[in-house]
Amino acid sequence: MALKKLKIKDKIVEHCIIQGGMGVGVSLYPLAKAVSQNGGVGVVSSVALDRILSKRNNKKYSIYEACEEEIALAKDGSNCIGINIMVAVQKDYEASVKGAIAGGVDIIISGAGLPTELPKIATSKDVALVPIVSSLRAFDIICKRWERFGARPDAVIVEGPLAGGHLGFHFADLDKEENKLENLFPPIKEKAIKCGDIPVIVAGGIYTHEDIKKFLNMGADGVQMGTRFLATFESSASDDYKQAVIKANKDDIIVAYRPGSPSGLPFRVIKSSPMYQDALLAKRPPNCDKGYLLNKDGYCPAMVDNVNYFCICNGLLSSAGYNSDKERPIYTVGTNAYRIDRLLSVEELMKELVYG
Amino acid sequence: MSSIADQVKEIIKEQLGVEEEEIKPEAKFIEDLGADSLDTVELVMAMEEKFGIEIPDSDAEKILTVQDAINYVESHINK
Repeated sequence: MALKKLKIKDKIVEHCIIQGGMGVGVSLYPLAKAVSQNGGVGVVSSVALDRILSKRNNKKYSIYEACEEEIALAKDGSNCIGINIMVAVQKDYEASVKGAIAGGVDIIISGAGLPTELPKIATSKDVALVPIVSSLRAFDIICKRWERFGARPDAVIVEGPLAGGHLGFHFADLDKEENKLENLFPPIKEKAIKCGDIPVIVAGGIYTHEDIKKFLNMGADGVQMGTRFLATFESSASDDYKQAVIKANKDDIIVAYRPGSPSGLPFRVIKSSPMYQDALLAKRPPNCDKGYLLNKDGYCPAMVDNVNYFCICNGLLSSAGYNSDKERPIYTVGTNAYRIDRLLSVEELMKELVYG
Repeated sequence: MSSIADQVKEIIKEQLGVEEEEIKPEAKFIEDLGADSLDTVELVMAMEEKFGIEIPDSDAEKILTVQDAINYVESHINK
């Protein structure tokens, strides 16, 4: 039996699957468009889109122009398209939101920090605003902060500790029983119902049709999945990245932390990623030149400390096939990536996920 | 009535669960008092509520130490 539809604001999506926005340069328009055309929500990641489009088209793009163009490309001939904009990339945040809206985006998904001022920036009435949280506390804070602007989330994504990329937990809390997605979800759903039945999407470690059904039966309104879509022909990860995912065993997938992301958040990687290996040996020079992830003192910790931090921006750009002269690649994946043994087309994957 | 500085310190003590002697003017919320990103936003929200002020995110980002918080409230209260 097929899955149910997903309704976010006035947008109705055939299958309640959101493709996770994977940066840098994995979730670009070809993947987002394919997912949308196959009945899910296709999502573009905004991180470093200016650099990616500048290289693709050999002319200089601002982040605003890049978000606008990438979304317009994804929207062309498809249905519901989202953009994932990380709060942690502060310097590009506002321009990314406005560019995506200009490109006709349907849904803005925002996490990796608290998107407390998103409704102030995204003033278009047509766009659904969806925060990603990893705790009820974060969801509470966002709801309260959004009240200042007379807004409330149009849906919320609850991301548990088995996800790929940055994880919204303290490193020591990742394995706690209370933080399992199955346990994080119910109180957030309860609050979402009280706030006017806000749809709740679950994410982090969801792999099969049965996994999806399990959470739908618990009351979830949909799922967000990243890693499965990474391993498709349409994703823009480099071939080396995709092959590393196919080869990875269970023990190869670990959480990087000291050395880890300069954001200070735990970050799940394939252990054999060349840049991670360099970082473990404190071999790589602290040569970050991007400055996307600035701390409160206004600098990126990876610029000064190569023992505790690695340059995630250049590493991820490298794994998408950009900038390989600056850093060797780092491959981020969700916990279940070891189960992937071949690439699928988005069409095949969506059929498998929707119908089992 | 206690001074603004004392009231701000009281909020910090409650929100972050730290001892009074740790709340020195130069103490940084994240590095010295163990706050995470959620704690810092809740701290700002508690100050807004207590003093009836509004602290936009762009200002909140610059409140890094106990003294920053006291200064901010003192210069924005009753305005």
